[in-house]
Formats: sequence, structure tokens, C-alpha cells
Amino acid sequence: MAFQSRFDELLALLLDDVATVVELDELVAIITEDAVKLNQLKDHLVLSDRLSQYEDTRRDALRYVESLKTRARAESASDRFVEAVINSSHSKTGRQAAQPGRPLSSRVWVWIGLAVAASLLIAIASWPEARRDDEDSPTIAASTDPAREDATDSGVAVLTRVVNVVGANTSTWHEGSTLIPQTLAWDKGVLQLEFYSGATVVAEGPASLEIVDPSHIICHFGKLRANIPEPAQGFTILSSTMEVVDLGTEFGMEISSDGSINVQVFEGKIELYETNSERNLATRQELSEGKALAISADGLSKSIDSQSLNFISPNQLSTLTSEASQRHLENWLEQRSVTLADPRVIAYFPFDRQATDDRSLVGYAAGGKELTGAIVGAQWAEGRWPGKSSLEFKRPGDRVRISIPGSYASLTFATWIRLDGLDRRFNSLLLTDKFEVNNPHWQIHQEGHLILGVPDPGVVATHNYRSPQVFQLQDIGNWVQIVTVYDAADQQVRHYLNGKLISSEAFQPTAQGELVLGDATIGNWSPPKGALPSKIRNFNGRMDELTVYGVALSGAQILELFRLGRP
Amino acid sequence: MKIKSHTVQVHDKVLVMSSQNAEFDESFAELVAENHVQLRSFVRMLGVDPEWVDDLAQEAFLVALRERDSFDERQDVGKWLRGIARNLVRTEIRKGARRQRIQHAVLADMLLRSSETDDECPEWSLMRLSHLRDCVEQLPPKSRQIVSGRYADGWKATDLAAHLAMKADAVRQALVRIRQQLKTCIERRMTESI
Repeated sequence: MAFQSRFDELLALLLDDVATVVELDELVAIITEDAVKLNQLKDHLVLSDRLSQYEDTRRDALRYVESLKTRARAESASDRFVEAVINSSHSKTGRQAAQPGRPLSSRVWVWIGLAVAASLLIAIASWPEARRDDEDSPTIAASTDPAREDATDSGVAVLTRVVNVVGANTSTWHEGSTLIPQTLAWDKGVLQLEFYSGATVVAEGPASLEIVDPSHIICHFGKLRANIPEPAQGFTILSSTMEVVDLGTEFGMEISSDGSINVQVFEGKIELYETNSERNLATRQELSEGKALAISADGLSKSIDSQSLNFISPNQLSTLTSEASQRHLENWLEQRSVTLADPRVIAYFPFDRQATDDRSLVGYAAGGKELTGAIVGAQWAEGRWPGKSSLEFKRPGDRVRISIPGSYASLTFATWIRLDGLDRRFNSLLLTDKFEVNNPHWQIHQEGHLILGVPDPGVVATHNYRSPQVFQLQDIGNWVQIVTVYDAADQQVRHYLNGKLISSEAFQPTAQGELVLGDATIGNWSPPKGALPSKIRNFNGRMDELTVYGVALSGAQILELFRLGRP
Repeated sequence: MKIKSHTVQVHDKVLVMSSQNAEFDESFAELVAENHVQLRSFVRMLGVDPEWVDDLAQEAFLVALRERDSFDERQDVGKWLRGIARNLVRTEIRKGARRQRIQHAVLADMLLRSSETDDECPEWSLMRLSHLRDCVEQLPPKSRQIVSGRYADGWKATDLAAHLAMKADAVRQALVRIRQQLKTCIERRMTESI
């Protein structure tokens, strides 16, 4: 079939990115004479770009905005650095005057200089060249996404332990969260922070810590213990009275809100300078292993008995964490037995690693009958608690093949996952092989929506029942419970996150009949022949427990599942 | 129908512009969030090479960030951003042989002049991606497959043709037809949502 006109043909070639210069010359000649065709060309250019923005994961809004922020930061940092150098050269001492409340030593300026250089390099390297490296192709591992990581990682530390923490703004603090520079304040409980520099800080509330960068924190008050390995040497803690510079060691500090400090060195040695002295050698004190010092708010110091101080040790923290985890694990084991005996369950995968056959995912059908899945590629990893296993899905081929018989008017899908990224436009949780009438596809959209897609009997296209955007970058690395209910009685699809209802949507008018799972895949899609080979939908993260109920669970039942399964 | 929709639909919120410095603060983030989809497509409409569209649109935002103090808040932000983008494309055309971000100088120059003469965007082009999504996801499976292959996977018509047992020209024709259908669908949805 020929094109309707030469203009249509040339337009098609242009938007296929294959038009030659001669063909473009010809196109220009046509639109010069015809304003209608010029407008048609403009419409197609706009629409073609919109389709690309919608479809091409390399161009998604999040990535675009983060990349823009990186460029803006690089420009801004560059401007500030140049300004600082100019100011410095005009200063009698050759040093930049300290900013109020945040004295900056020459070492910090060196760090800033390096950071600027690094961010400029990142900006230059990541845009736009990185886009070309960042092929969303089946041959590249799901986690290979340098442009995105470089552009978006403004974190400086990871929160690795949160034990019995109480405080006004602590509800969103989760283990595994990445922290950007900010102030953390809490009343009670213990945090462990692992800084990108390599330093580990365990802090006990009540405390107020201001994270400045990977090597600097300001402690307004609180009790902390820092372990500084060699690569992190020079890690600095500022208080209103003293600046403590680590020389490769382990030490504890207790800072009162009046500015007085107790400090003890467990290993190695530290340097102390008066705050705002710009590390003037006249104010320098050195404290070596086994020694402890009490410094009053006005800077007077005296040696004290190190036995009198009591800083939480990593072992004590581990014990605290283990005790909390153990309690949760025991709760879950009880729940596991209940689920196995639950007649409503049509498929239950507790994700227990089998010692004798670790390439099978043992599951249970109704009545406790075994329903085993075949693990392809995915690797066993730690689950929600130490001693509990999960499966880690990383590569485009990773998946678990299962088969769930029967057809059901209502279904409830429930799982615990730890997202490590949303690499694909659609990231599979559980997808039926076929995607025909009443085959449900349960997945997470790249923009962070939870989706249940069901092709209706009455229409050609699928309807995606989608939640609002609930997954964001900061959720990466945290265990979450997600549940979706297809409720024939109420004619609704409901999505839940961590036991809470996040959306409910009425069935499409054309929806009818029972849902069928049959051959299906956890964490990926195994489509029948004929689909485009590059339609990868691999999940990037860990999964620990997946249950499918042949009925619609209520909100209260889902909340109970969350309580008994939370890490 | 053409309307000055930037003031009506895109900027339903009043932008509070911080005038102290060129920090990428919340108000600027809001400006970017509200305008980047339209601005990127606009840059493409000026004949910029698809591979360089986002780069040039980012440059326009960076200029806007630096120049935000001089922006009159009563003015249409979209118009201001489009003006900046036009200046960047004009500079690109002037680079002559050193230019690398436009596809064809004469075509870009023509599109630039056309845009200067008529800066009012057609209503449908101010759609949000959700309008497009609704229309795209309702395409028949074969059309959806072609769109996905072309725009998600970046396949050219010849590659897609081999995979779908079609001729390359037929794939290109299908894409022209699909884009027209989508435009009609979006216009209809925008009318329904008013």
C-alpha cells in the first residue's frame, strides 16, 4: 500500500530517523508552499516526542528532573567554588571566613573542591552520553543503570539499624533508607548510620544529629559511638564546644545540650580542636586509646575514668536488633502455620530455602497440597529477618515458574517485597503467561503505581486498575507488604500498602467472569510466542512470601497479615 | 481551536518565584514539573535532533534558573521558556558546520520562524502524559506493539517490519496513522474533561 502523498512518506521517514538530507530538502520545499502541511509536520513532531517521553524509560520524568538538578548543582557548586577561591585570594590569611554556625576548615574546602570536581565529572559524563550507554536491552543486567544512579544519588549515608526509636518525626525511618544531608532528632532508641566515607556511627537518643556530608556531622546533643576505618580517616564530629577529628579509630562522645562533652577513645587516637578555631594548633588536644576526657561548656577539660562512661557497643546493638527480629520472626512462624491450614489459600509460597533442592520454590495449594515452582536465575538471599530466606531477582532472566489451577470470582494477592529499583516500565510481581480475557497481571509501574491489569471480556484493550504513585526512590531497600484484592462481591479492585488501603476502583462495566491464573511467573513475564522479545518485565529486588487467596480479604484481615509479617 | 492554554491549564497554580538566588528550590522544581513535558516536545518541534532534545530543553531550564530574577511573574511562564528555547536553537543554527544538535538547518530555521510567528500552542499539545497514556493503552494490540517497538525499544521501521512480518513502509504508514488517531483521541478526551 503506497503512501497517500509524498509529504506523508517524507514525514514518515523523518520520524523514523532515516530521512536523508535530500529527502529533508524535499520536505522543506513542500511545507514552504503549504501551511497546512507545515502544521501537520509540527503536530507529528510534538506527538512523536510525547510518545517517546511516555514509552522510553530513559526519558522518564523522574530521571529527567534529577539529571537537570545534577546539572544545576554542578553549575551552582562551580560558581560557589570560583567565588570562594576569589575571596580566599583577597583574604589576608588566605582562608575563607567561616560561615556562622558552620565553621569550614581548609580540609573541608579541599573536600568541597573535590566534590565539585566530582559532580562536574558526573554531570559531564552522565549527560547525554550516558543515555547512549543506558540501553534498556535484554542483554544488560537490570541493575545496570549508571545514568540514573549517578544523577539521583544525593545520599551521604545509609540507615542500617533502627532499634526501638521513638520521636515525633521518626515514623518514616526505616532500615535500608538512604539519607541525604539533614538533621535527625529523636527522643529514645538507637540508630546506626553507615556513611559513604566508610564511617559507622551508632547514636543513642535523645539526640539531634545534623548530617553535613559523608565525612562531617554536627551533634547538637546525644550519645554516639563512631567506628572509623582507614578510608574514612579524618571523619569529623562538630559540637558547639569542640571539633573531633578522627585519626583512624573507634571512640564515643556524649554531648549535652549545654555544650559539655564526655569523650572516650576505645582504639587509636583522636584530635580535638575548639569549635570555630579553624583547627588552630593552639587549641589542639590529642586523646589516645583507653583515655577519656570531660570538657565543660566553656572548653575546660579534665581527664576522667573511662569506666564511668557507657557507650553502646556494636555487639549490644546487634543483640538489641536480634531480640526485636527474633520476636517478629516467631510471630510470623505462627502465622505461617495458620496460612498453611487456611482453606481460602490457593497458592502459598513462604519462600523457605530447601537444603536439598534450592532451585525449587516450595509452595502449597489449597488443603496443604504441594505446589512447587521452578527457580530460574534468582538467588537466595536474607529475607525480612536474619534466618529467614527470600529470593533475589536481579537479571532480566530471573523468575520463578509456577502453575496455579482453577478459576476464581475474587482473588487476593499478597506479598512482601524489598524493591531495589524500578528498571522497567512494568515490573512484574505475578504475571500469567497468557494475557487474554480474565488473565490478571499484577505488577508495579515504573512511576511507582501498583497495577492489576485485567483484559475485560467486553473490550479489546486491557484495563489497568492502578493505585496512586506509592513507590518512590527513598523506598528502595525497605521491606514493604503489598496486597491487591479483586472483589467480585463489591465489584472493586483495592490496593493496600503496609496494611493500609491506598486505592479502590470500581470494576469496569465490561468486567465479568472468573479470573484464571494457570501457568504464571513470579518476578517476570514468560509471554507466549509472538510478543516482542525485548518486553522484559523483570522485578529488581527481593521477595519474601507470596500468597494468593481465592477470595477477597477484608481490610482488617490484611492489616493483621501486615502486623504479623512486618520485619 | 487555539487558546493561550499555558495560563489556563498548565499554570493553574500561582508560581511563587524566589528571587534571592539561582537555587534549584521547591518553586523552581514546581516550574520544571509543570513545564518539562511541553518544553521538551516544543524543542523537538523546532527541529532539534531527537537525541539532543532533552539536553537542549535542560539548557533552557538552566538559563531560566539563572535569569529567574528578571522574569515578570505576570508573564506566561511557558511563553518565557519557549522564548529561551528558541534563542538556544537560533544559536545552534548559527553555529553552521559546528552545529550538532539540529537535524537540518533549513528545516529548523523554518520551524523556528513558524513558531515565532505563531507562539500559541494548540490545545491538544498541552495535554498531560496521562491523556496520552489513556489513549495509547487503548490502542488495538498490533498498534500498541508497533508504538512500543518504535518508542520504548527504539526500533526503526525496518527492524520492526522484520519482526512483525510487515514491510517497512507499512510500519511507517501505520505509525503516521496511529499518531493521527492519538491526536484525535487526545482532543476528544480533553474536550470531555473540560
